[in-house]
Amino acid sequence: MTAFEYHRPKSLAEALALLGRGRPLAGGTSLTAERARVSGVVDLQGLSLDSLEIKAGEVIAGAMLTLEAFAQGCESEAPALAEAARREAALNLRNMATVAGTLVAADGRSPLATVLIAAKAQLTLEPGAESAPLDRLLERREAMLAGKLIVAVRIPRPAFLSYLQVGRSPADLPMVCAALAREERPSKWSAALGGFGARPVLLEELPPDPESAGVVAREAYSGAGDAWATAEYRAEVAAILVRRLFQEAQAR
Amino acid sequence: MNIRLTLNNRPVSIDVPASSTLLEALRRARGLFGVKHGCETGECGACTVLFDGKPVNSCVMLAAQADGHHLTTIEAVGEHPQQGWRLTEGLDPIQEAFVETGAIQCGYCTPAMILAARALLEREADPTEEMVREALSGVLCRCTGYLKPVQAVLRAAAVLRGEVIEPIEGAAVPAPEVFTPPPGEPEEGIGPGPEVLTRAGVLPRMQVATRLRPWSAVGKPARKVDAVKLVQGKPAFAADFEMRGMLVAKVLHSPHAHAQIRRIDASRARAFPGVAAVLTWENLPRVVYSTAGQSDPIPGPLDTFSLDRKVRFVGDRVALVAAETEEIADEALKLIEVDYEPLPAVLDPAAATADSAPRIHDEAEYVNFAESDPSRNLAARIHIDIGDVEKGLAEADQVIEGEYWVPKVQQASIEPHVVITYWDEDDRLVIRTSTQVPFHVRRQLSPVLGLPPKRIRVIKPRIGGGFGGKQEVLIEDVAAHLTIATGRPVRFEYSRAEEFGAARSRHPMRLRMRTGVKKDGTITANEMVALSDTGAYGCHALTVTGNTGHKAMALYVGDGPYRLSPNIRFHADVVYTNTPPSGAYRGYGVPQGYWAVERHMEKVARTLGIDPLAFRLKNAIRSGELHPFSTAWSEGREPRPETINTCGLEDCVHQGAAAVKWFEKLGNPAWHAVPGKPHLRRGIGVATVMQGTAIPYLDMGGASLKINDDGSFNLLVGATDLGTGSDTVLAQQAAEVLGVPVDDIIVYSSDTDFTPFDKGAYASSTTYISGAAVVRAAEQVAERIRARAARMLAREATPVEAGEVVLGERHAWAPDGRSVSLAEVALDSLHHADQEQIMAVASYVSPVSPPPFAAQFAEVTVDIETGALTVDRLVMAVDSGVIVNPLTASGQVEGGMAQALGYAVCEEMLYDEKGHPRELSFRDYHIFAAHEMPELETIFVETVEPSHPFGVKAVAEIPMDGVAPAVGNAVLDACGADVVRAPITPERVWRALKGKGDW
Repeated sequence: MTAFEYHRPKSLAEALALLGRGRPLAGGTSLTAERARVSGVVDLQGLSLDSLEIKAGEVIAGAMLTLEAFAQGCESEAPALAEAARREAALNLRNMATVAGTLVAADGRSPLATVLIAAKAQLTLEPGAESAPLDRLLERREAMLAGKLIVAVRIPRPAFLSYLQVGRSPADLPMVCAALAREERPSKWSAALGGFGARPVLLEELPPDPESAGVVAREAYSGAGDAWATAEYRAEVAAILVRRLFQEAQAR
Repeated sequence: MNIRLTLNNRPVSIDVPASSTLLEALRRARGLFGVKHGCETGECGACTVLFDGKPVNSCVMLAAQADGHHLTTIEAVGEHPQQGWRLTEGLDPIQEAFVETGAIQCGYCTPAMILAARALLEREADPTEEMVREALSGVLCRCTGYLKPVQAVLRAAAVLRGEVIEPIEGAAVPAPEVFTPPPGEPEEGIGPGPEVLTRAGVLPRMQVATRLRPWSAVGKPARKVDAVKLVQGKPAFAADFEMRGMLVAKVLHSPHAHAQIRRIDASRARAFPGVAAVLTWENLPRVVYSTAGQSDPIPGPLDTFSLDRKVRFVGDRVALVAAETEEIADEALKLIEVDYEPLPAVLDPAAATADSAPRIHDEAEYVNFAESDPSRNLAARIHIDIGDVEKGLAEADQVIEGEYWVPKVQQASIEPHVVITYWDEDDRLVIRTSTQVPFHVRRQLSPVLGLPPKRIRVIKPRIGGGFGGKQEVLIEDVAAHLTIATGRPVRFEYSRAEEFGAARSRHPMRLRMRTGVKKDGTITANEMVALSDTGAYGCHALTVTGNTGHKAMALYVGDGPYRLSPNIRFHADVVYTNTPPSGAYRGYGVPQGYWAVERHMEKVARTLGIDPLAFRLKNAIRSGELHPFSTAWSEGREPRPETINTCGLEDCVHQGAAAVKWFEKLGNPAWHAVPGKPHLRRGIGVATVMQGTAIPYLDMGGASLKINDDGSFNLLVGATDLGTGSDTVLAQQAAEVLGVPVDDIIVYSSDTDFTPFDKGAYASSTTYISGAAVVRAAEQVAERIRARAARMLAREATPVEAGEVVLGERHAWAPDGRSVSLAEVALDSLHHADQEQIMAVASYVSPVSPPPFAAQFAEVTVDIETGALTVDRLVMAVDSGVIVNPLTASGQVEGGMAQALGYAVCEEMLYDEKGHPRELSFRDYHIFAAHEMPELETIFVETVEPSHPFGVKAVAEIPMDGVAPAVGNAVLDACGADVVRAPITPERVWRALKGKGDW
């Protein structure tokens, strides 16, 4: 047994230099349970990465912003984002879990990752102020995050963004969930499906009518079977949820 | 490392390893035991602390993260108002409200809820119910159903705003004989989750039975006797206890579903610094036993060893470790080398008895009970024929069949199994354990440990919920063997993953029904054939499954001539599989039975076109009739006939139907539609159920009662309050007999060294059995108080007959109005004249097991495209005899309905093809949280059971029976989907709607 290291750097530069000594620690709600398998942690709480900016075109959340602060901050202007954060976890966890930490630890059942993937969120990585699309990062998180820190999450504000899920109870994690976004000028529809697998999947350039978009969603989840639900069911429900989201968008 | 922070308003510095969680640091380094361990992944919230004023889970953060921050734990919130000569500010208004409203059951999550509520009320003086539910959403409670905690927070908010609040007193809100909801009650807009209004008052509605004389303690919403310590988070639980040199135990669990251990080498683990002992099967005497906590002789096979050379499920024990720290113990587990020879496993109960199936129990020491047959993987077999089923079926106009499945689900008490063992100064082994059955622990472990019972002392401290999971001698032997091996104190506590992987659960079953009916709805014969899966060991195998028939198949006897001579058959095969063992879980086989019976009765009623309520009442058993199973089966004992003395089922049906407006909704298309949501349909359903009250001629409870100098009394009971409130209702019964306030009864439970025997908390028995023992002891004490008071009163004036003396208001009263106080009686008896200790011990065993009855109603909304199901409302009308405490009793019903709701819609334990569990955390095994609950309502319909001094029957288990089938019937009513497999998941509803195969 080697001694576990805890670091709390005061600057980004210091934090980057320490990355060889341990895993970046955000709220700790996932990493604490894994602590026996890591040599140490670099706690990012001293880096002042907990800002929230709500602009006309995008929401910029600091990587260390807690889910609850994010939800409260988005409540009036970006309710779909607030709802996604609230569905992610119960209050106590939201008070510690951070936006970036939640995304890095997300699996397919993450409502927040599903909504943010549909909205085409980008993560800002240091060093280099690199921008990484969330869906690509979740596909290759180990490789893309090696030697890097997420400092912010930039979430575009599409003209329409909404989320639906089906679970066993109102607060259960989703069996199937879907988020739909519509960008304006030019009008583009994209969706994300969740509730299955290692990460939510992005469906880009959806055909602009509910039925055809539903068909795309069904196709995307045609192999999404596991011990929790069959692929047949998930595919059907994915189509229904995307269709309903389209109808909601068109009714606005 | 050294951490500096502000803890409970004081600057402190804590020295802990850098890898220490905040939870460990607060409990172990600071002794703040109000912070509880319930899981390791942050879902349960028992470890809540306020971190810079916000509720967070201390189990999923490092102590180091708190450096520089402000932390508040329950220890800073309030205290007992009077600490000797020092007066304090008393309890916080939130704590006070939790005490008053009955919001505390086991109390394990109470500190967390109070902290979460405090954080809310500090920023919001006038919260809505939705805000309160959201604030409590991070704290899981398995006892209360959240209704009373929500009411407590709303009440505390009002108090803090300075409003005048009515005290909670009186019996209950009376339910009129012809029930009509109060005018102005909002009927529309009932929805799920946070939109639900807590419309029910703090006290339940009640149809109160006539009292022969007024009572002062029984029937009142007394505060729980343990509430004040629990709201303060006092170190009352098994793990809240430290000894110098205490070791931490860990168990190496099997990765294989079925394997022989060819070789096991623990030498590297033993040599690891800080390891005190490693035990394998080679180190322990080979003693076969059963872990089922039951009376002697155990009504089931003996098929378990503390450690064996064979493992029978993924999670079975392989080796035991004791080390100086948890980290060292974990490291030692990795160093144990095991060479397994994997064996073919059987995971499907339907395949378990096939000739080709691998034999799970081939040990020579196996001890059969009744028809157990390990050569065919049969742990038990039950066959009961009442009347002539074949004749009854032949006489039927129609025979209706059905097949139903119930899943494996877990008790999931928030406090895991936990035990501490040590040698005392007399070389007696002390076992301080979270158990429902302290006396069974002592008796059953005696041969396993090689110690006579007289050298074992079992202490049951406060228990953080059990629900049957702790009616099991599950982990006490681990710590005990390690204390014997090392001579040192040992603490062993299950992690949540171990709870799911290696504790007990409800027996999953397949149930086939066959019912013969006449066109007019008369049942002519009823048959149930059960296949029950006991998992790798046969603990509770016979008795759980026996009760499936005994209680679920007893309700419908038929009508007319069939009522006098019912035709009922129950057959069950209870099989071994290579899965974690099943065991006792609140309801004990009966919820399984009612899933099948009540889904099937709905099918029969709808097939015949008869109103489901009328059909049930036509065929249900009535008072004055013979319990049909009483002459056929009794938990492995000799059965003896029992007559049903009281049955309030018909009133329950009427009260419940009125409360939910059954007749306005059933068959009303307008109500079934949801305006503007064509894909949604509403439905309403019912289930009627009965349970039992203790095991007749077997369950015994004892109590001792002695007077103190001040006229207070020590009540010592072996009964084990798991959070149900049994200590309180026992104190109320003693207080009633002795004419004192409940405050004057100091209850202690339980310690095998000095409390009388009680078989423990199971079979819905404590209020009835242990209560009758308490009343007997109290009556003996009262008699001696009356005799002495008569002598004392005669000293100063006219003689008084002892028989004329009446006890009340802490005094003994002569007919002429003179009195002596009980304090004077106590001083006289202990110090002044003809000194004696006024004291009595009594016990009780019942010749009958009077069934409680209930009508459970459910309202649901179904999405007919996705199958998504929302349960909107649960109303239960219950005949539990006389209600000793309407607060604790309604808490039992609300909490039971919430637990049963999980089993209805989301709780299920499944295994992959290698026997690995799918659910190992509350993330995957979802239990309901405060912000997603439907509306809950309890209505009591009192009857007066003549076999108990106050007329009580059981209340604890019956709330588990009706919810799942009522929800299933409501889904059927909503959209025609007949889901035969619980839980009713969205995919199962969807498949039923689409006519696709079962999944």
